[in-house]
Amino acid sequence: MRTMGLAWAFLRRRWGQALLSVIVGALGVAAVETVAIAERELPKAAERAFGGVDLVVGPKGSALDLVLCCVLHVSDPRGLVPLKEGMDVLRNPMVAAAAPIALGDSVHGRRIVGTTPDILTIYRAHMAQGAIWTAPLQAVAGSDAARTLGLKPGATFVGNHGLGPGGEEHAKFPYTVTGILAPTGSALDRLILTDIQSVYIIHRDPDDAEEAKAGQGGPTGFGPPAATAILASFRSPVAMAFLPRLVDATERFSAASPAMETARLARAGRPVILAVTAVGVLFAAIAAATAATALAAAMSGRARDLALLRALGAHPWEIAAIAAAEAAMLAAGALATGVAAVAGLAPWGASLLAERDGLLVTVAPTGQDLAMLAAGALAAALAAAAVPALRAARAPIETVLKA
Amino acid sequence: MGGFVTTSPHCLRTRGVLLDRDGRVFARLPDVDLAPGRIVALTGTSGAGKTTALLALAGIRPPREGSIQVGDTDLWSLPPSGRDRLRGQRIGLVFQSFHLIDAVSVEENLRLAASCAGLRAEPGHLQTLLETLDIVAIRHRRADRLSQGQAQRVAVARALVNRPALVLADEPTSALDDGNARALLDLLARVVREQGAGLLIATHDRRALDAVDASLAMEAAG
Repeated sequence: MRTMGLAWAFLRRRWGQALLSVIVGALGVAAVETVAIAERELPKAAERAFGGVDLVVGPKGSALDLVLCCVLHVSDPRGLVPLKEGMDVLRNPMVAAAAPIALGDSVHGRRIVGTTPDILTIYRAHMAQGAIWTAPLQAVAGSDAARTLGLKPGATFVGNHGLGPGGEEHAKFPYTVTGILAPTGSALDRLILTDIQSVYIIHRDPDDAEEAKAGQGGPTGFGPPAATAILASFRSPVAMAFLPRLVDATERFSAASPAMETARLARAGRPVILAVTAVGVLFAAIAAATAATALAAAMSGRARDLALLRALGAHPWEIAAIAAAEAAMLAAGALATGVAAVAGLAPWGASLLAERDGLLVTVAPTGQDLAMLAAGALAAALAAAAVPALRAARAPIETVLKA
Repeated sequence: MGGFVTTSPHCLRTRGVLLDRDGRVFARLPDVDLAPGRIVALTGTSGAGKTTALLALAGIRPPREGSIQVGDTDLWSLPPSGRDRLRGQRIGLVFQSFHLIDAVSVEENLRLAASCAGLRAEPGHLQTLLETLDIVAIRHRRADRLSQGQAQRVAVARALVNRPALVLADEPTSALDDGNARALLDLLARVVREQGAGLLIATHDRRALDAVDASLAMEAAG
């Protein structure tokens, strides 16, 4: 029998109900797919955003705050650490590289980070254009910052006080761009790096600052006394077992491991993930129930047609196949719509995540995702079709045809 | 075409068929010997068992007793799937209210009748039917958009699309005015004779009796 053609004709006949089932099903598919992508990609994105930072040393306080502020650059600093003492704590053979960071200014929402060239070693970054700074008030832009701000080597810009928009301009201290970094996939891409002394020059009292500016191009004579934090990379993972404890044992410093904080965050966020997954599954179940109810109603509504098909010689299983085919078509519609919706909206969500949280997320569903979704949609379709199909197969020919 | 070959001179032959309702025998079908090209009316008042008899003859509802042969085949000795197939391939049904599938086109209704029986509609035969029944122009129109007269002709075409040996029609004229009733009966008679099928019309409509070769009356039993 022409099962698919007939199923399609029946669906078209009640397109409103069919559309509703597809929309609800698509919501379920989209929710489940989003959770699957988020569960898989967010940890990877966080790892990428960390670059090669194994440890952050900052003032006593929340380790998570330290990671959010100084590695992901999505929150404000909580205080300063004495630079020399901090660097001394990290003077250890297990440390491959250490670089202080001093935060305080920004330009059009991009943070200006005072640091040392060692930060490039930590992030395994290299120059795409130009060269690294050789003096204060010279800057190197991360790839994304350069693209969005239109910076090129030789360009100048002025920083604003504070990390958010609307701060006072440091008009007397323009920066000159000396280089652009190649993309790293880390938070570094969104930053503008400069010599740590630049930050102190700009933020000392105005008279001293003028004096310092006059000394550009050579030693300024200002020894930076403090930093927001110090980033470090390790030679060996074994260092993770010792160094954080060593740092935490000091009176003034606190250590934060981005990897451990992410794991902690993931554990804390697990109930949320489960809740969102449950909502997705709930949507899918509602879709299946809607489809089942609609199918059952449709089968009852066309009991005469089904009986007629039986009278014309169709086997009961062929009648059941029509219900199954209708359910399968609804499931295919929901699957395609849900996947298309995620494909359409995901780039927007990904750019939001990149902009707001510095996380570069790959949003394309994998073959495994699609296989899982297809299997789930098929199972839901079969479950939805089971009762209507059985009822259709048992369509009583004689009572209907006597009517 | 079809998997049922017959050498019998009769397209329908019944003997001693008793019909029951709610477990009790209530009607007896007179013995039928229907030859190809012949038209017989099965008469009786409302409730006399005409439709029940047609259901038994179509292999849909079993008789309490008796034998029903379609061509050479003893209908009720077949398993259910065999009866379904034989009904689809060898018996054409015309219902009182035509019962077309509304969601599909006229042509698709005819093709469905073939595919439900496990057959393919022969293009030439299909075209002949469409032309004979004057429904070529509406072949792509959905069935729920047909006039009553058009639906009648499509129902007849569907009953004949598989070249059945036997056509069973259940009160085909009961809801029609005189003109339409006459037109349908003439059409059925002409096409069935052209196809060499036997036609059994269950009716209590006296107008139908003028168009048939013989009539048999349902008998009360029990």
